[in-house]
Amino acid sequence: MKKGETSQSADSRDWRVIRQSPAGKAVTDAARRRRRHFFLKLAGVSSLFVGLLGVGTYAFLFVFGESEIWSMKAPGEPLRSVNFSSNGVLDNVWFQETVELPLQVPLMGIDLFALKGQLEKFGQVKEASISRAFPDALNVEIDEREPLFRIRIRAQGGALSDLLVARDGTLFEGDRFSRKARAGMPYLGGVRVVQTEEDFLPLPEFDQIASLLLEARQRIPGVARGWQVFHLQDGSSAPAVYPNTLRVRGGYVFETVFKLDSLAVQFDRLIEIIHYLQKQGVPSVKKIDLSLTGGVAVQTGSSLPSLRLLN
Amino acid sequence: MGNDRIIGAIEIGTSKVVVLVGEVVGDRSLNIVGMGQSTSMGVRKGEIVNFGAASNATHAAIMAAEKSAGTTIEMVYLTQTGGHLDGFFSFGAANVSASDGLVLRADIESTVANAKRKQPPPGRVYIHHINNGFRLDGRAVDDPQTMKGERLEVGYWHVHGDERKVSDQIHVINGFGLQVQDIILSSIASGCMVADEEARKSGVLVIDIGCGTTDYALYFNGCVARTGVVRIGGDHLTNDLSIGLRISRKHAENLKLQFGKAVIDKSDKNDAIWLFGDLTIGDRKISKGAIYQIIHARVEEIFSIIKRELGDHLDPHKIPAGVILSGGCSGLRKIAEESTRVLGVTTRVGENPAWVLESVRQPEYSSVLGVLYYGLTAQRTAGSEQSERGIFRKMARMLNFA
Repeated sequence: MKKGETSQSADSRDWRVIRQSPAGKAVTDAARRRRRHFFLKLAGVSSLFVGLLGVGTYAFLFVFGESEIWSMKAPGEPLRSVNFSSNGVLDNVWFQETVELPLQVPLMGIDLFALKGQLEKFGQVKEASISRAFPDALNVEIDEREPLFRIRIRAQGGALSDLLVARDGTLFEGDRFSRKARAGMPYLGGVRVVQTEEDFLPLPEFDQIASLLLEARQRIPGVARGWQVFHLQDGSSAPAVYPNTLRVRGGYVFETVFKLDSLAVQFDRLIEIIHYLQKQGVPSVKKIDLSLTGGVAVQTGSSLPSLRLLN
Repeated sequence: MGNDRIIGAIEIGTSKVVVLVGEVVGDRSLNIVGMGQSTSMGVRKGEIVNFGAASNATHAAIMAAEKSAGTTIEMVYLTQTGGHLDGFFSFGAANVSASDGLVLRADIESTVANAKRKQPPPGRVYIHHINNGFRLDGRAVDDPQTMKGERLEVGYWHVHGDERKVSDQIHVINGFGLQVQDIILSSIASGCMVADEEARKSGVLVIDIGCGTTDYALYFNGCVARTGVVRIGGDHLTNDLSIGLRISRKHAENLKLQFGKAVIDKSDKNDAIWLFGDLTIGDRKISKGAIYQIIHARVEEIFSIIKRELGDHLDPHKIPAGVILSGGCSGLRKIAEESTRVLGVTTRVGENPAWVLESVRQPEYSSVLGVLYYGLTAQRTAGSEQSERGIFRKMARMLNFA
């Protein structure tokens, strides 16, 4: 406000009331070129600044910072329950004892494939399917093998133990099977059991013997129920190296002899013979030998000739 | 050295656009570091009539200036001329409020507010309010604070212009991505350069004869007491020659620059010159007397208008430093002689200070140099504000950002 000074007044209409356009608005090529140049320079300088900042931070942490392990945390909550289901005798307790999942393990931290492999290593488990039930449960479905026979083996220490044999020849210990259920299964003899480090190898070409038992249970359940031993052997009395004869003992017919070549035909013949004998009122049969070529030998009690050869 | 700034002075004239780039060093000295110039387009009598053309010309000049300076302009000071500019004088008065009669700061502010109270006519905005000095109980004082008295008065010369025309010039600058820091009247800017402080204190009239307009500023006691714009400039001399001699504008401009003279001497009456000088078709002899007569008439008119507008203020006793001419047309021969004759006041052609670069020392650059100089003084007053942003500004300067 000194003498000679020029000034503006806030009260009056000064030229500054004219609103100046934003600095970024360019109207000529020259202005646009300058603006473009400015932004390119700005971008370059910003990148340089960010880069230097990053290098600086890294250097600082490298020199002064404590090393820290950064780990990825699996999402999801810890496992709280297992929904176990099986078509056999295995239950949730067996699962917990067998698998031993750690408590509070994160759901996403469970390796489903490893768990499935672990379960399927048990001969009794034919197939296991496992899935996550978010947020905190695991679904486990077990398809079990149905045992048909039991087999008695002698362990390396000399102790005897029973294994169960499924239709596909798989041998397993048979957890959770009751004594009664085991007693209903015929013993299998005359087979060679091969043991590996962890397990037993399945019996080869076992399907036809298993089929014989299953079919008998359907068609002659009264007879089949009495079968107690299935014994495989060759024609001689030596141990079966290459068995070709099957001896089934127990029940209405004390001993039935099959030749392993054509079991289905022999079985049909056996049914006919048994029906015939029962119709004749024969209370029990000592032996039926279906392995003979050209006929069947039937050995009965006193009311009938003791040995008949049927064609 | 912490407050170095790059400022730009821009004059959007009728014939050319001039941009000077100055580096204000430590708020104390100014280095002219770049200059750009382009032929003006879209400007008539100092006013923009074609925004696009004026923008192109101005932006080309700014680009050239920044390129020659090797840096970017941070803030712009703009000269203002044109027939739309006008001014009026007003008084403000207030009684001293303190019981002991000492003038307080509040008394001064009240007096100044009183003087500035008047609103400009509709559609117009103030460019400057120029303080013409305080009077305390009738005696002139430079700074009345803490002086004893009863009544404080102040006189202000207000310069105002058409809002749209001022805004056009501002928006041309904005279009380049720059903001206008301040606007300075062309005549005041010229006065800063061609009239030294002694001359301004004793009283002087500065006349800047440009291409489209003639601006003047009358100084009394170191203050700008009157300003004005005459809508006649060197371009009118060229037009007059073109019409009077029936030649093209181009040839008329050449004749003006080569043979132009503001007074008619008796010896010139019989002299003649060839229009082209190469005896081609259309070449003809033109009487020098005719040229001088045409120029003289127009120059006489310019000074007569100024004399009429200033009236009693144009008193040789009040302006002992006389009249100083500047602007492109001040180079016309014997124009000072004609001015002295018409105005009745001793006239001389002004010169820019010796510290100015030789390439811009001609009188036609007076106003743009004056604006640059004004920028330096403005930086001094704003020094405290700048120091706050010093570090960021320094960084921006290092990276060559505006």
